[in-house]
Amino acid sequence: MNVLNFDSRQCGRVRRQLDAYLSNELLVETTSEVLKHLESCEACSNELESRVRLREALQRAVGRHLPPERLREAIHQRLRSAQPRFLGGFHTATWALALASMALVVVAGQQWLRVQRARQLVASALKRGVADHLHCAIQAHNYPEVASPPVQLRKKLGPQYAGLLAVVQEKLSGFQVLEAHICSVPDSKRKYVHFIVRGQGTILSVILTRREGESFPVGRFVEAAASSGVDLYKAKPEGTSVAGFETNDYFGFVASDLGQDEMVHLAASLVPALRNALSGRVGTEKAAARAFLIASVCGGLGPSY
Amino acid sequence: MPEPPVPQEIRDDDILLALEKVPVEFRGVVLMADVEEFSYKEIAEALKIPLGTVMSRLSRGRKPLRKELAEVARLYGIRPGSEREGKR
Repeated sequence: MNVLNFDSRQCGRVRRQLDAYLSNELLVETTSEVLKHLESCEACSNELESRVRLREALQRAVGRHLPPERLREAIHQRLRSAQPRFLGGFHTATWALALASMALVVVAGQQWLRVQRARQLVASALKRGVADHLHCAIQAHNYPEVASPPVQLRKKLGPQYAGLLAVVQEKLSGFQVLEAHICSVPDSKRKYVHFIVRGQGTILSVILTRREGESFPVGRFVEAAASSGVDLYKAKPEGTSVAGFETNDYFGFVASDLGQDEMVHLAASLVPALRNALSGRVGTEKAAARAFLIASVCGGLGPSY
Repeated sequence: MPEPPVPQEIRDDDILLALEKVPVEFRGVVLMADVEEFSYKEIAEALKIPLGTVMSRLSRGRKPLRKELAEVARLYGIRPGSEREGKR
């Protein structure tokens, strides 16, 4: 590793892009270039860590010292003052009011953006699980009537996911795993780890797919059910009940034509064990601690399938 | 020369004091992007300013924030950065 190259042109270029990289604003190609450079440049990696620390500290400090209630109060005061401009000529003495005024744009003016984005994120994530369930299990009927031998299913899953088979079988009491494989849906490169099980008179899918920078939003905007220490998101698009959850690197779904509450119940029993199994695998999958840091900071820029 | 690294231990007071010194028109954009985590495009739409202006304001807001915190670290005698950074 060359620690003397921090002032090279390449380092300078990468450093100018680090904040955009952390904000997930770079093109895929540029992100790859940045990641490649970070792998070989300790100085720039340290710079990235430094900026991560700053961003986390900023979020923490603002969150602690400007709680939402106070923010809202300040904003309402601001609204009552009927001040048309909030940028030009704004000379408040306190940082708190300055923050509140700037956040006026966020909360009072563009709150709908967050709500809309949260709902879209949840809906689009849950629909992915339903799409794979409907396409692969229901329409294509990609499962045998008699369960495939576990050894065959583990082979289909590959070494990365073979260990999850036992988890699914154990946690879904009353269901039998008929099929397990890696699949995709038309017009998408996204890969799904798909377990097709039968029980309670129906076919049910347990599906995992890698998060690619997305996440279920946390907050009151989504329908969430806290269970087993995790949030479960539920919906019923296209007549299919689905419960969704997320792990460090994956979205997970349990989908079938059973009721939504039943999906939530089954997902709740699966999630802790799946998370443990996945975290163990991820820990060995990523060779470098720095790469892991970068991936976690950037919300799932892990290796693709 | 590379920018001085942000200290390992950052107190809330340090952050808020540093934030206060960032010009308000840049501060707001930094908060929207780095705290509220709005995309650059969303910020541009919300503030009705060009995307390039958002990026410019972010750059001009983030840089003094880092500089202020590095200065705080120096005043308090906090050794900025990690051991690896010390090798520079």
